[in-house]
Amino acid sequence: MSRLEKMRQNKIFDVLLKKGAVTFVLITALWQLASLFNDADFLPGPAQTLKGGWEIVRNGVLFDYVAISFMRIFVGWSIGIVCAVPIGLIVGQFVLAREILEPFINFFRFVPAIGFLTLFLMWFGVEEESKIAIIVYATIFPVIINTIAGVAGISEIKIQVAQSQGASPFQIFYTVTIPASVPYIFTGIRLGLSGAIISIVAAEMLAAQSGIGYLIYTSRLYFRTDWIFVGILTLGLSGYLSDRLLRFFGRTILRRYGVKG
Amino acid sequence: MGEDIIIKIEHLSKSYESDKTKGEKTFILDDINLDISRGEFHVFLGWSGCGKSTLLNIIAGFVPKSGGSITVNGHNIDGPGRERGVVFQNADAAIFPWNTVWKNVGYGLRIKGTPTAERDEIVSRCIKVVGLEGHENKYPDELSGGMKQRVQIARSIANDSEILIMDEPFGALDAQTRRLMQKEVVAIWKETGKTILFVTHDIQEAVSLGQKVSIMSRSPNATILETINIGVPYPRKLDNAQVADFFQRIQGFFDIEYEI
Ligand SMILES: Nc1ncnc2c1ncn2[C@@H]1O[C@H](COP(=O)(O)OP(=O)(O)OP(=O)(O)O)[C@@H](O)[C@H]1O
Ligand SMILES: [Mg+2]
Repeated sequence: MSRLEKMRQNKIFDVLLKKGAVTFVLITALWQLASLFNDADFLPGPAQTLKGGWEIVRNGVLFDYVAISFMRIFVGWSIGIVCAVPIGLIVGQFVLAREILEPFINFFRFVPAIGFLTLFLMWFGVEEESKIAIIVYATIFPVIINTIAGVAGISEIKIQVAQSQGASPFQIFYTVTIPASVPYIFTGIRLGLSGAIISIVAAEMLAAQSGIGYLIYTSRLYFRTDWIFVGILTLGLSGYLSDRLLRFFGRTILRRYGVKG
Repeated sequence: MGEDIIIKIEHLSKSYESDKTKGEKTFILDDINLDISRGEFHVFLGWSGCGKSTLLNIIAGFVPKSGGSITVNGHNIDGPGRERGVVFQNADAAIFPWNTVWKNVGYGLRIKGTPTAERDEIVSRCIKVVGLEGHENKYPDELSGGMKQRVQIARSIANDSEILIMDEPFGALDAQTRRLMQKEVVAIWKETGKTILFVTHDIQEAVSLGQKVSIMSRSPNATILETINIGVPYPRKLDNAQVADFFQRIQGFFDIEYEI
């Protein structure tokens, strides 16, 4: 093997390592190995999982469930963001609002969304509304808390610039405070998405007839451990991909606001 | 006497209330008296920590004074105002990174609600004055330190501020760029007729730029020791005999004041 070839191979290895391919191969190999020593109902291997996954891909169930889970996440998450950003901006800006709302926020941020499931089922019914309410709740806190941090962290100089250019407090709010808080708001939105995914799975396991959480929970009843694995893999993968998408959006469209993806 | 005073400072003092001295306040600035004429290039010179920034921040309206009075065009100041444009030393914090050069320069006009056509005309003229043509659509992270300071200057000129307050604006620039910017700021001053308040701790910079140079004493209780008229025409060369004389004279003040 020539030196040139060796170098090129090293480079390819490097790229594979960075893109996560090496990790992927290692985990799959380990998983395959572990499955050899176990019963398929206890720990199905990659091949069985793929086969089981193919079954629910072909009959459309998997896509339906992914779609319904993500519809819930997307609706709840969007509503959560739309409510949380103005609240965070106002609470961050006005001392009085902060003093009134901060204890409240610091209390409920420690109550996980799923703790409200029973209440929400009672208040919003067993249909979609209760699940969406869970997602809204899960999204709101990280977004509010990060938005407040963004407003609080604005450099004094930027405010002074606006003041000596003649801006009123209200003009400062929307020409300086809001744009300067964008990177923090964006971080809150990303955290909100992961919170939303975690909460929807729990909600679907306990109180739904569809969705990825439902798939994971009910597969147990059919002794289809492979479907549980499919559910888990789908979750990880779709969470990973949606975060990648979000980060891509951040570092392209919001780059000027200082968002780093 | 026919002289048109734009800023009048009388018995100005400043103390940041400190608990250390229980009741006994320490004054950073004490009994500053100064008249600044319209269109004057006024340099404040003093060593680090003497209170130069505090003085400019009070004039800019960012920091409240403790005693005395400051009037601008005969009005007491009680906060920042658009007639007092500020050029900050830290350009990275002072230019909005989410806006292009064009939009940064036009900020004050947008705030004021100047009609677009008029605004565009003013912004384009001011960008020309500071020599930033061709960079209009760049974002701040694509600019050098000198260019960022030009953006700040253009922004204040576009907003029609009568006074430019500059606190060591070229302190973060390399020596070459600083010299270039010193020449430029004199040219801009001549072209626009603004009143400039310029802080520096560099005697060379002070004698190259100032029509008047106010020398500040050490803090606490810093005050203006003397205001020197430098009647040497621009551009000034440091090896010019008159300029060298002023340099020596100012150096003399420091040798006595800061005998080290
Ligand atoms: N917010 C503050 N609270 C208390 N003391 C302050 C505050 N700001 C400045 N000082 C003190 O006031 C004095 C003058 O500070 P100032 O920044 O005005 O000096 P300066 O001449 O601009 O110095 P430099 O050349 O380093 O910029 C210093 O002793 C400083 O510690
Ligand atoms: Mg200073």
